[in-house]
Amino acid sequence: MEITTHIHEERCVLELNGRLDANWSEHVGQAIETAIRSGQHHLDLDFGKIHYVSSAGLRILIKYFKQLKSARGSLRIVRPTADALEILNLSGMSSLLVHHPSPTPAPPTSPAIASATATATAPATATAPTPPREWQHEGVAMAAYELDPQARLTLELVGHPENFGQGSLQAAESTVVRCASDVIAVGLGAFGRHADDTRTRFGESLAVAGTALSMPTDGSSLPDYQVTEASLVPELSLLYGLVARGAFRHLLRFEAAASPRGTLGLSSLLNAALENTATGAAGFVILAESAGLVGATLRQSPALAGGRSPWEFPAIRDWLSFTTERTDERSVILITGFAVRTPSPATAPFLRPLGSTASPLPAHCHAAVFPYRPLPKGRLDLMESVTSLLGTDSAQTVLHLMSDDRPFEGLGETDLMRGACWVGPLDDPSTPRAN
Amino acid sequence: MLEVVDLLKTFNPGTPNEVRALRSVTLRLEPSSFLIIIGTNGSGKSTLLNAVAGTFLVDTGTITLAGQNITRWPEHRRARLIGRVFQNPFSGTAPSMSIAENLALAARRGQPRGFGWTLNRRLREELRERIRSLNMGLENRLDNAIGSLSGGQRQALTLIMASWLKPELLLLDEHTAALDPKSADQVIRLTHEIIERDRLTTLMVTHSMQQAVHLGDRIIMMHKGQILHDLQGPERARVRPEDLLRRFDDVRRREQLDPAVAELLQQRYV
Repeated sequence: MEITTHIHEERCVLELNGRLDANWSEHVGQAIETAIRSGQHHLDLDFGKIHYVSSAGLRILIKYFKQLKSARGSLRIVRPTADALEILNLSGMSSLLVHHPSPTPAPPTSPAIASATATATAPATATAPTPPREWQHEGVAMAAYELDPQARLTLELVGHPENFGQGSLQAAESTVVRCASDVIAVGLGAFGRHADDTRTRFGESLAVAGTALSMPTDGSSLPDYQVTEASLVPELSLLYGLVARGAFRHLLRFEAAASPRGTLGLSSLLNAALENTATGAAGFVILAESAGLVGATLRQSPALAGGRSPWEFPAIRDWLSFTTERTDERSVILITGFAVRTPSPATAPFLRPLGSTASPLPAHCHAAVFPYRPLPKGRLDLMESVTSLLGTDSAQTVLHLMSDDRPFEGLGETDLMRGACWVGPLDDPSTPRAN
Repeated sequence: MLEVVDLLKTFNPGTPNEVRALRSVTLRLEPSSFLIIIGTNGSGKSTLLNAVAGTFLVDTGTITLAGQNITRWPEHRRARLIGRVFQNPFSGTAPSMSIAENLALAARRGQPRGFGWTLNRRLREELRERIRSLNMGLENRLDNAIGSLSGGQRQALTLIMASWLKPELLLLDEHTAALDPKSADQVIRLTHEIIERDRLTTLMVTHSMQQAVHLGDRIIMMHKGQILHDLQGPERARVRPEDLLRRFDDVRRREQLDPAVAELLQQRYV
């Protein structure tokens, strides 16, 4: 991101050139802050070379718009590109932020800055409150709330994960997934509309509750994210992945502090969730306090492999980063994933064994890691929880969770302390209905 | 301007203790730029400083400073162009000589001294003014032996001595690592002031990510004798300490990815 500052007609103009995403929004915020601290209270952000704005970028714009307004100053966006203007229109922010010097009226937008909570479709998880079913699972206190007894998720397979090992994934063959509030998804994805834009950035991605997060592989150090804002619904380009639409049937709360291990393994939680929902296949979202993550992240975009297999040693070091020790203990993690006890031949390539070698559970889970914050107890609303999480903190990384069952030096699997797990039985069109 | 091209240095070649300390290091430093060098232990950062200072001669490659090829110059000859502050506060000064004598030596560096050099009143006043800005009360202790000062005071004086003649290049080798936090802060503040005021071209080695982020206009991260990352411009401007720590972690993880982990990833990553 290049930022050039100059004064024009008594306004401080910041010319921006680049992507206004999670990786650069803080930098732009600092430039705005510097201008304000130098006494400039009327700022124009020249968006003539901005073609992408993520929710992280929108958050920064609104923050300083409000700050300057309260100081009787102003912040305006001038010369927005068509791409940027569309995002601002859809998010309902253009009428507030975009300055049109010509008599042409501004395009109609919603009058207020609507938060995702206020405007997104209400999650289909709300039902009349009933007392939870409580039991012990491996010494861990569990409580299950029934959200909607009829709720189901319908699975869609996107792309061909087997092409990853052959180095033959193509950006042009990616599928754009609209991540509405009833969608959960995991896969290798990127934000952007064109193959030229996404090619260098495909990385671990997830979507839940009208929010999508993606770990770019272009050298960015932070995951980018998009949150539903007014008519703006996140769109994720997936090279491959699992996508499901529908609603969750149960919410499980778990507390492992008093259990013999003091923690709960991810596969153990998923097995408990499958048993509780009496299904062999489920999509799930977990919001939990981590007791140590085991996983891997991509270092470079697989769309750049050009036929080279990432599995060769030592070249694999350029492709993947493995945790090598448990990481992010005491962080808050948002996991989205799928577990299928007996996957169909079409679904199997998307899943890998999780848990012990003796009884592995085929699954595919991605986790976004956030700074620690206490999680509320009792019944939680998924949309509200996710919106609240992203409203105050930025994700630090996104990784693919996996089990490390190497003899002696294996790290085991991801462990959790306490949290919430939303579960929905999964209809896999490629296999007979599981229940 | 400093330009190092394709520097190679191997210690103990052909022995079991062979260390390839610098591997084709190439770096161009514009005048008045302030470069921070970070890296793990043994990454080659101090070796690079020593190579530039002339502590040893490199195996191959060239070093050009202020338009002069100094690759084969001995250390004492390079000292006319280069000021240097070491990690150890006791290595940059003569402990039995007074503060004034130490400073006078720095003021006359590169000039013939013989038996005739004197610490006249005019020079004493100049020295006093220079060290008054330290706010350490040393201006009234010009005749005290420098060995009686604390580490922080000595390092501050060493920094003043190294930069007195506005060298073409200032080398700072973890110069606050041996100081207590308060003294380190003082010396860092002084470092920033001197470099800004005199627009000195500077190479500084540090283990502190805070210093790396808050000082300088460019950061290079070294690993195993090579430059792994070179952050400048907007990338440098937005970098945070946690980003640098993440990069170190990334290096460690990369090295720990052995064939067994590679096999695991092939089985478990999708």
